Amino acid sequence: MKRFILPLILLLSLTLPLYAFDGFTDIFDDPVETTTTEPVTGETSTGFGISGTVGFSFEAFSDIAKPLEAQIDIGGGLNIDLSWRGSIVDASVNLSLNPSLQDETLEWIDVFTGLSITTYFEGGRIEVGRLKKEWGSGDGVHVVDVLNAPDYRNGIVDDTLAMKVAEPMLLTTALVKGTTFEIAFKPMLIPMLSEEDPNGRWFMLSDKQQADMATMFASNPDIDTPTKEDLSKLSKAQYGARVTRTMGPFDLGLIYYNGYYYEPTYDLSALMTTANTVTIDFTRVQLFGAEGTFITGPLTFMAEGGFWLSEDMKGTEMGKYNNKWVYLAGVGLLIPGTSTYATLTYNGHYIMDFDEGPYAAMDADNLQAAQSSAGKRYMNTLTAAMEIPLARDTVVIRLAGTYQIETHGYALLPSVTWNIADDLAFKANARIFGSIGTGSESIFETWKDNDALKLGISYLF
Amino acid sequence: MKRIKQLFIIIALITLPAMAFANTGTEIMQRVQDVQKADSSAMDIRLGLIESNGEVRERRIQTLTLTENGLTNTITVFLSPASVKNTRFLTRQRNDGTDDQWIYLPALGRVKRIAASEGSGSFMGSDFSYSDMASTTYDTDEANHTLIREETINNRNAYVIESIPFTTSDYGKTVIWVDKETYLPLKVEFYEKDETTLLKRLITDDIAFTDGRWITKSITMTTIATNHSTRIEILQAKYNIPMNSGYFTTSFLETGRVL
Repeated sequence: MKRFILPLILLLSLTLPLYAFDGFTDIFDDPVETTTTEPVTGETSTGFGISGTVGFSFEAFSDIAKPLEAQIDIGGGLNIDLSWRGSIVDASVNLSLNPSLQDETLEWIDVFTGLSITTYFEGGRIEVGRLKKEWGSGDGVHVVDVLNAPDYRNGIVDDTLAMKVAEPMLLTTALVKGTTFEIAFKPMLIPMLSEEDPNGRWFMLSDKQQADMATMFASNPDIDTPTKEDLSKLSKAQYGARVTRTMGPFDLGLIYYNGYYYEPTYDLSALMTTANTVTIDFTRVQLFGAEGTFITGPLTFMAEGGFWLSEDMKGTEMGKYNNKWVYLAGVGLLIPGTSTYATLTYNGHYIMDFDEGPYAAMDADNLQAAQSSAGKRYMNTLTAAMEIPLARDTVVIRLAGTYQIETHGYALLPSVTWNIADDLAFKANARIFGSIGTGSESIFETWKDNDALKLGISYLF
Repeated sequence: MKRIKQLFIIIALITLPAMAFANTGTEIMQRVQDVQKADSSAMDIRLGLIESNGEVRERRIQTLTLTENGLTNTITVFLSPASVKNTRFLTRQRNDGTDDQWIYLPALGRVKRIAASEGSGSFMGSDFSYSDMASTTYDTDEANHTLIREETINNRNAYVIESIPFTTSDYGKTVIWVDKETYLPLKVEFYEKDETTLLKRLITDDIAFTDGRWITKSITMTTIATNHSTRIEILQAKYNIPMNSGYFTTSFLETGRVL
């Protein structure tokens, strides 16, 4: 596939005139001294655009106590955004070629990281393609952001969009008398992506969960995993709607979504009745959510909340996740006299009809525990971030971290970006995982040997 | 009664010159406001960030402003460098005089409501604050303006006005040299809240008469402590042109299109 993509990129970059959004071209002429009283119509120029980054990085992974044991991963690569702007149609494709994938099978999903075609009508637009969209009012942390499956194959990173899977969807947006309506349709189910190898660096089960699973699967059953064809049936289609409106200092929104929990389920009761086969499946759910932002002075208050109504409304089926409440509250502060922005977010969920145990291996609550934290009905997390631009934005320090209240697990994601020139940036960032105390069941404790330091340089074009 | 009358006359004689100066200062600043007033404007701007060693980094922005029903809306589009290209910034004035602000960051692909920019925060790493970008002088209802002297600057006759804001926010005091012919600021000094420490200095490098009005073509702001400066060049300026209000919407912010 690389053989095909590289010549395509080269061909496009060599032959296309370079445009994209070049400002208010209907208002301004070439940059010469002029004045006019001609009307401004809102017409825009058409043409191709190309932009992107080329870079190189290496990331050293090690338990922080054993730096010489560090394992080096090569990263960076070429990211290209190609766009076409027509009179009523926009099209764009995001391509990514990453050297870290050299030794692995290239997946289209990793190369075509985004693709969209947008057509416009009076008061709105229709967008179709492999899209990444963000719903909710939180600052990078959400509980009602439902349109994309999460991607944990690279653990967690300080980049909301990088942790989303671009999903096939159709999104219609219309602005009617100051209210924005969005309707989304996803024709198939894309599950969350995660490390599949139990020995892999970013495997998402804790040691205890792995031990429990080993007990449950002691009979070494066959695992019936749904195929892509199974997940591409119309019966797996999902849809949602969002309404948002600004009212004075408030931005308010309502969300409805009818889809699936992205986490797979399994029904161990099948082991009792069938020929030693466990079927992997997904739970159909509806989300009734709300979001809000309130701004006063340098402060931004954010809130999200919702109720996930499971197809297993009573919470009795073994192979289905239960209903749950989700909630988020956050505050952001633009520190007076500076360009420093700090934000603190508290979010969590409460699983309904979940007996915290202890429970038997064949108990329905085993599955709920997989969605929970430390075997509790609830899970709460604190996330903080601060971005500090220095030396007239030449250097940007960003400090981000998250702490799981029940399991005491933490992840710290500090970074420093040095903009050597306007189109050249050096970045150093770290990932530090662990937990406070002993015996934590946090995934961050599981990842404690994945502390990493990454150094990279990238050129923007 | 006679004594009281005399007292009034004496008080009047003492206070009138001061009042006349104060009124003149306010009147001059009112003229400064009037000559720059427009129902709509469009500007194509080049910012040069000049290090103390002379190294220059350039940014290019375009900004549209439209005043409707007494409320002013502004949209700014960042065209270069690549790191900020296509970032768009919308400010809409509320009835109570405060602003709503939104930003579109292409890397995130979404519009985000943001807290009204801290006025003293640096605009794009320049020596101009967000407040400076809106106006480098205080309006007549924002400060007490006093004509303190007249002098010649760059071979142009100028009024020198001291402006002390009613509510101290970014600066404790500004001193403005107003061109007697054009009523454009030729030079502005910005002082700390102690009203004595010079913080920044703005120099008008070039003015021009186009389309029946005088406009500032190039200005340079210098931060005294660092000797870092920023030059703003108005590549194009258009005033009182018919303008589509669809530019000043979050929909335009997100799509770059007037729908």
